[in-house]
Amino acid sequence: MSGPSPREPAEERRLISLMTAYQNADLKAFEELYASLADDVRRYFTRTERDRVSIHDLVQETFLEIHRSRRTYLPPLPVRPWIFGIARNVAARSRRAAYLRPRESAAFDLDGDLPVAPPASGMQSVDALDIDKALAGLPAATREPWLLHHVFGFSFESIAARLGITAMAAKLRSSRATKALRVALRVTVRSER
Amino acid sequence: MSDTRMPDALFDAVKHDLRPVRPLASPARRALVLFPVAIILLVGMPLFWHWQVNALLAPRSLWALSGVESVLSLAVLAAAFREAIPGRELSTRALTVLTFVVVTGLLIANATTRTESAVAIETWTRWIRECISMTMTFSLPALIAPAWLVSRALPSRPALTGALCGLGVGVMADAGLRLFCWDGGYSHVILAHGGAIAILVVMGALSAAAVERIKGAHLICNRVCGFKSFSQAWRRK
Repeated sequence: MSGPSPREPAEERRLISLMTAYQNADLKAFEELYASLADDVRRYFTRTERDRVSIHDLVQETFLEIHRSRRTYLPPLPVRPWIFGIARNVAARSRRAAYLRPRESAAFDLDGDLPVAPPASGMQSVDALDIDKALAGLPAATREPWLLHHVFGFSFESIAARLGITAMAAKLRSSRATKALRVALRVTVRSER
Repeated sequence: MSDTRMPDALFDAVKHDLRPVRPLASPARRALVLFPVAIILLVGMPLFWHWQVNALLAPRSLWALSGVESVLSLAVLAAAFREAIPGRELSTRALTVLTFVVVTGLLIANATTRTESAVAIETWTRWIRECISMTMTFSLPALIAPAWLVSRALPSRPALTGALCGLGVGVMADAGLRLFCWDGGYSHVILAHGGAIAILVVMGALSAAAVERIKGAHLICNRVCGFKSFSQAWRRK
């Protein structure tokens, strides 16, 4: 645990008042808390995780857990130890989920033929090979949820159960993969002209 | 690396579910909520035994010592509730001191009222069985209340938190048990009374770990904590 950082008491007081306001349903206070603490929480996870996507997911998961468990914060105790206690809890759950994750869902064989629909009339043609290449360029953590949802048609809830992550994380990863694919495929099409 | 912009999905999820919440009461106050449970175990067990076999009730001095044991059990439960709050975990030193105090308290309470009986081995084993089964019958339902109170928090070390809960309830039950137990011999106290407490500690640890694992599987957590709107918000999206 990182523990309370050596910042001024004024900063800690500000966090306490933000946390109290957040417990009273102040959305702005949550935004400010996120802005103040997201970097510290991210730094905490970089000590155990290497993958940037996983770190990002863990940070989001931590703030979701902060939201769910906001009643367990007892004002006027310091906010940081509470936040990092939750981060440690999320990290432990993530490790457990990774350990329990079934092996068969760990990786997809991208060498196999992927079902690619023919382009609709008037749309730019994208080669199946381009998609293959763009997909191969994605990190496995985002590729899997995208494939499971957009190609195999699984719901985010079942993807979450399959990969041992939350539905929100699955959705985030899939949307990140879509964005990356859009960028990658646009580049490919432009380079052909 | 610095990215303090909140993702839209997180913002929407929090926005849909945001409502005022009341912070949990302090660990000591939550432990006091279990005072009636302590009284039930302290008075209920000897009275039940008295009603069942028409045994004599223990003298007043023993009741006073059992009262002290009940207070000690509430302190252990307060420690468990504190342990369940993120960032307020007990230090190794605090845990060591707590364990030492509890074990010493149990030994003193049982040793000062020592009334060893010379009985046949069959009777001796039957008394052990009776003490353990009696403790379990009264303690297992009593364990539900602290387990529920712990599950409302977010323990970082669920097994330890559950073990502390089991220890608290075990000591609570021992306070009542020793008032009607016929055998005060060390072997009986250690095997029967200590064994019952050890079983409760293990059961508390296992159940807390299981609860935490279920909560970790998410969405179930939404139901347990009453966050129905959160999952509904996601289903709508």
